[in-house]
Amino acid sequence: MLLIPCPHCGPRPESEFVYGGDAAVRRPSDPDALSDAEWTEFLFRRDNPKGLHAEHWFHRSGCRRWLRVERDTLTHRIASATLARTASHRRSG
Amino acid sequence: MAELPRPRSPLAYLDLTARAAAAGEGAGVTLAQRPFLGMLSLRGDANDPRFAAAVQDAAGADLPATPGSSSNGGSVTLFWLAPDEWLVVCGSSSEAADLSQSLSAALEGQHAAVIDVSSGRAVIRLGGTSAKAVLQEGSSLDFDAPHFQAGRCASTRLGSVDVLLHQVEDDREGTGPLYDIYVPRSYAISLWHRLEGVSAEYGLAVSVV
Amino acid sequence: MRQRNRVAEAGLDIDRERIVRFDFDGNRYEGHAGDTLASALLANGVSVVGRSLKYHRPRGVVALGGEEPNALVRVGLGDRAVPNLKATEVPLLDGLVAESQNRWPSLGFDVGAAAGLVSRFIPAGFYYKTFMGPPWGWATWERHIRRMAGLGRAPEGRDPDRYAKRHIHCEVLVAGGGPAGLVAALAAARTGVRVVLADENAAFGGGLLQVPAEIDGKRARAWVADIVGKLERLGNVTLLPRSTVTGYYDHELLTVAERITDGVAAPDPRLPRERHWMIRARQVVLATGAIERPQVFAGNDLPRVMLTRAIRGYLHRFGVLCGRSVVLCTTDDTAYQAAVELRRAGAAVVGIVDSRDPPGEEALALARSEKIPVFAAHIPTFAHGRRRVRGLEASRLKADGREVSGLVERFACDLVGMSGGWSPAVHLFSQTGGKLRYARRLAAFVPGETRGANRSAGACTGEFDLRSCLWQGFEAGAAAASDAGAAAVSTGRADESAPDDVISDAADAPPVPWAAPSRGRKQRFVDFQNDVTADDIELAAREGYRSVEHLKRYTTLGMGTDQGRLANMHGLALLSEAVSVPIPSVGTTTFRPPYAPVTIGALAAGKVGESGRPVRQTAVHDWHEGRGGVSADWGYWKRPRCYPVEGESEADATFREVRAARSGVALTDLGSRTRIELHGIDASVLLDRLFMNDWPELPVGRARYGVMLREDGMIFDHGVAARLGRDRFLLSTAGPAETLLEHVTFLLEAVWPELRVFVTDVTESWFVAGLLGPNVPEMLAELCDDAAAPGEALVMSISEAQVAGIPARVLRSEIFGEPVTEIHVATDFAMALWSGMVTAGGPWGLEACGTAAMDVIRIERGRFALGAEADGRTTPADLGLASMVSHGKDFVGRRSLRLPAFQEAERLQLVGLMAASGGDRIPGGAQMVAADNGGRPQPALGHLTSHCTSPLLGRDIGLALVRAGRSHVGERLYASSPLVGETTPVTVVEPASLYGQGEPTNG
Repeated sequence: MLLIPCPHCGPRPESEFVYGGDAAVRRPSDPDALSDAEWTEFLFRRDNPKGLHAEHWFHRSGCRRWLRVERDTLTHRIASATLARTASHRRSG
Repeated sequence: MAELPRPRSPLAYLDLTARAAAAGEGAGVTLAQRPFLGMLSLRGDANDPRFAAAVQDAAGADLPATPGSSSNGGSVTLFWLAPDEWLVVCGSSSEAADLSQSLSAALEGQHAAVIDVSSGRAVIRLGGTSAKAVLQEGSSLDFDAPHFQAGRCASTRLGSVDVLLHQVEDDREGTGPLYDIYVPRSYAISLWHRLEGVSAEYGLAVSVV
Repeated sequence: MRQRNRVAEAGLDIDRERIVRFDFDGNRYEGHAGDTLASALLANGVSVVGRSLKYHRPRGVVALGGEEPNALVRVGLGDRAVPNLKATEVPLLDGLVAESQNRWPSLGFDVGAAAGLVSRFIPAGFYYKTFMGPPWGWATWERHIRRMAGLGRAPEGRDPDRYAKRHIHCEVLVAGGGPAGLVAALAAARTGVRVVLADENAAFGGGLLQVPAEIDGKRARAWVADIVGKLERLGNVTLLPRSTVTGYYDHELLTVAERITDGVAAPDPRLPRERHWMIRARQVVLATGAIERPQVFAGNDLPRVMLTRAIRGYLHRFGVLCGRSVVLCTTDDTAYQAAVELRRAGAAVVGIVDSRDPPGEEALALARSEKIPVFAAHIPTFAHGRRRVRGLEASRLKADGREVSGLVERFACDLVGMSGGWSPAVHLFSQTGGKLRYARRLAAFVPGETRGANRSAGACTGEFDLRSCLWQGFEAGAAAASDAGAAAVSTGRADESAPDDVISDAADAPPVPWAAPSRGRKQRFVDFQNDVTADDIELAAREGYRSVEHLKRYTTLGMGTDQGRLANMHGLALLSEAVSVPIPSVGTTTFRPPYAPVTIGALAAGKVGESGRPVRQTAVHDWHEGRGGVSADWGYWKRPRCYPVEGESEADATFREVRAARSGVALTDLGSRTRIELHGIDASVLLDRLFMNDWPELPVGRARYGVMLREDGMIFDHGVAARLGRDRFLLSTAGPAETLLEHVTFLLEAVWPELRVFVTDVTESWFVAGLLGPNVPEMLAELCDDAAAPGEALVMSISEAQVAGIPARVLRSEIFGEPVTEIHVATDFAMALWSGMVTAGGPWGLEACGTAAMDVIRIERGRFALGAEADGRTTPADLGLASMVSHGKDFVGRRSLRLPAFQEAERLQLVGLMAASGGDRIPGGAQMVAADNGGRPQPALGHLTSHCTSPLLGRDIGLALVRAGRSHVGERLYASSPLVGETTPVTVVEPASLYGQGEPTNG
């Protein structure tokens, strides 16, 4: 069972979290401008990388914040865990 | 205003008085309910000095900024829940109502929220020499000092229930540490049953506050 | 004769003063306190302790501990019986009752042994081949195979024991309490960090307990006691004997199964039977030791053909001499010290059969001094006997060391020792994904590159010299503590002493050849527990199973309770020879947890009944119970389905409750509905993006119903939002609070972080009573102090009032198209409110109303419910809600609604159903079909989603999702349930028109 280093609560077991998928995927700001193919790409198509992968985890049983966790899909090594809000702000700013 | 009807605590249904009478000797675990505490959910920006100052002013306790910490002031305790969320606990729901008003007034104009959640949680006080072992049955938190000790709090999973744990006292005289478990009200009876079951191994004494 | 194999020498584990009586297969025996079941059986001369899985061959004890493949027994009686225990691990207690497994009718005479006579018809891959055969093959054979094969029999009743769980943290966990593990634990503990030391045996010491040894001039046992004492006194060490480390998972989570009351005389009744430890370590030291391998030759499975280490161990620990006339076969120095010990205990060592040419010098010298004949360059080729070994043939190897010459030595003996080299126990290391390396010198796999925070020390690294093991242990323990953040440096010396100079069990020569040549039809067993022979492996290779993973599944090699601890190395070496691929390239099968069998009770600890599935109760749950409310599950919540009174059926109760909602007052517990509050200047914007319907600015005090979608266009949740203040909203929804909170938080933190809104779950802080029915306004006017009684307020509004003397929020909205008044009060006052209403409601025809009645009202109105109709696969258009969808704004899920797939005419659409007549029952779980063809298969047009008997329509009605459903309106379809064998004709109608089909009952 993974031990996810919540930036607030410290290392906590995976069972306290809810997986939220690929954190690199961002909701398009103008969905109407997208073709059907582009929209379904956003909805359903995901990379399956071998190695470091940024993903969202919700710390359901702890601080109840969405985190952005960089995890190596091969070794489960976790490189970083930050607040998703901070990461989203950074990208939009 | 007309007198309010009698409130009922989350564990009233269990008849703790009868359970207290049945306590055996040499119990390694003690359980009790702390009913009718006042509780507020406080939201705001911890990095805004105006917010911290307003809370300090109205609640009479420092705003705990460190994750997993708590602070005290008079009858008020503040628990850190999240970077922008705290639980304010005080002696009674009427005290909470007053505190809610003064906090709301102090925070007027800020991006902040004060919500009275007094009835929302049951508080179970767990103590005894085996108190830590009881928690370790259902929680994977590290309960050894310095990871967890008096004054620290943690939102975590206990068995299948999400709770807030607060270490009230360290084990000073070999009588064991003291914890408060804040559990969502609807789960309280179920959690109590579980704590009783786990405690059987160590001997249980129920007391009424 | 009692305990005829017990000798006066050694026997350090037993208390000869204390006699223990036990029962095996109905016979009474005696042993001593400190015995295991296996040692006591051997002491009593019991050779056959079980029958083998496939061929039902008689089998005896082979090993000393957890690697035992044969001696599987069922211990205990009734519901406390545990099957598949290894007799080598069962402590002997007075009154113990055990029975052998896998034999019928008795161990001595086993009908299944006939399988041995037809064994060539049960070749490798037997199950595969029967499966592949004629279609009736498996069905015919299965019953017989199930009875003949299989391991053990599970008890049938509920397990009466309690099992416990404990989660702990430590800086250093040491797996294995042999010499390396003990020293590692001590080195780590002296730095002050938290250390856990776990060992599967009742006593620490590992191999040091099994054979005579000296360390620092002390007897090994005294040295062990000294170290254990030091660990106990340190205070930062958790010692876990009788605790098997069963799994090593990600991020250093290790599971340990501790046996607490089994094997303990008169245990404290409060104690659990087992405790399942979940240990999160910063660093791990693996000191799991090594396991001696058997040798592969014809007849090697006969009782009293045993591992040499086991023969030594039974003598040293239990004073049991397993035979009087012994041949020891070996591929290294292992046998020589054993020969000396056995001889001194009174046995005749007929010969040492050593595959090496020449054997080790020191070893030879030892044999010579004890006058024990050594047969160098010989391997065992055939053991014979019926129910136990009577003799052995050994053949001389040719100069190439691979093939046998014609020269044969024949021995008469009643005990054969095997030592085919040692396999490091790399299981836990391998579970982490660590790479194994083939060590040619040892002919075994050893830990290579590690993954995770662990180090291996001692025999599990392939290091068998005691002094080196101690050094490795010390270094590993100290380094682990340092890596785990220990501030102090470990003090003391590695060994606390100088190791002794006994000849070590080191194996320097590979056990070539891996198997003796075949000898007629005699079987050469590789895996005793699964009856896999060298011929099976060769056959599998010939049939194309060249991968070791395929070989395992095809032959069942290495499966079962011992997981091939004795067999794996020989199995893959023989495969390597058969397919002419070097051993390192053949590789090993993947080791997965658990290392040893774990009881289901231990795994389920803390997850049984209410502990695993907590019960959520609303604050008036006891009132429901007191009124006979029949409970129904909704997630973890318990909600009353209906309240039957004396002599009333559930259906009648539901009718009565619905009638109250139509003619008087229905009071329903909405305590489990989700309520969250939204605070902040952008709360209104968030709601606009959350709901699919138009969301013009909502005035304070007003409320609005809305539907939320997932981003893929499917309906997610629905409910009412009420504006409490300028920047403050209350959202009351039907779906679970956790999911909604997670969804909204995601939008606020990952999608629109610029929105300034706080979301707070207040579900638990408020209790909600729902009121429906024509008399609600009058009743409330009476209950409320305020002049402006909420009954007078507008529909879709929220206001504050005193209800039954309690400060309340009153939300007037609609539920399923009917007006509903919700009274929200602080949960502490739930019961006061509820009883106040029940008392006040008498004159107004108030009835408490359960979920069944609410469901009837919903279905009559043709409204969807989450889970039933909104099942995560339906869009607004599917449920006939297209007209609700806003065209003027972006919201979650909007773009998806335009996707071509959602426009297809053949999508499942919501329709209403009416049974053709009052007597027809619509069966639950029905499929919708076009014809009643007597239950023969036909294509389904869709499925029933909700149904009830409608008091309004006087017949069964339902809702269904039907392909192109709206085009079927007015047609006749059939609701067909093959499960209950019912097919009912129904008329398809618009869902919303169901209500209009009936006559209002309340005039």
